Amino acid sequence: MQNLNLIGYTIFVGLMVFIIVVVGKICYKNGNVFVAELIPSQLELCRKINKTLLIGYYLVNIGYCAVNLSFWQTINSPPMLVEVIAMKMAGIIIILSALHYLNIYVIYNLHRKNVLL
Amino acid sequence: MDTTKILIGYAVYLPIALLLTLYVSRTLFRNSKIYMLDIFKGREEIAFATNKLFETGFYLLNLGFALMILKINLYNNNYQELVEALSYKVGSFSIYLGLMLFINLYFFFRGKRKAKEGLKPVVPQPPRITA
Repeated sequence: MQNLNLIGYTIFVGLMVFIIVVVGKICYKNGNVFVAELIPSQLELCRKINKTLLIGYYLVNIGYCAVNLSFWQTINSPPMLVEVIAMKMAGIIIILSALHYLNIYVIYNLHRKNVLL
Repeated sequence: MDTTKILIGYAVYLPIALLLTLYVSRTLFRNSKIYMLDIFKGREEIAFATNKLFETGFYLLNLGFALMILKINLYNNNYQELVEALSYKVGSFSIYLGLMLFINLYFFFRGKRKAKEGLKPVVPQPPRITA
């Protein structure tokens, strides 16, 4: 009986870190506009706030991936390797997208209030 | 047990799902820029930023779903069953993608309507004459 867990962990962590970093970069770049609008008089402060948010996002997500590794079952065949990696990645990606949409909603509401006031 | 057929199934399903997601979201978000410009009243910077954020969310949601329904079970381990299972997966995934597309379109239309309502000037009511 072969044990493919270590290969699975390597692939999983590599892919997840890649996805998380790419999504974080996109959010940081496009979020600057929104954060800058909240305190328009202090752009430097806004950039620093955004950077802190980015770091927090990295810590939470990569930390959650790392915690997730301890709940894997034993993998003993290549198809099972693909299935387990897909399931675990799907869970984390769906959590990410839920957080992402929640963020868009909150930011859009803040923006609207700011414009209306 | 020989498991190569299941692996072939995954090797076919994954590229199809990824390319389908890529194609649909590119089409949707290339055309949604104009709605975003309308919603944000022509402010390009914020409109394109929102568009990009929605695009990222769309990718994440659909890739997550595509990976979630990946698992294929074959009872007799023959090619006929593999083709049937694959067509079931790809078909249900494309139906799901279509639904997501329409939900996003609905959001754009709704945003446009709301933006228009916000722009409407308040009409002063004529004073009511009471006897």
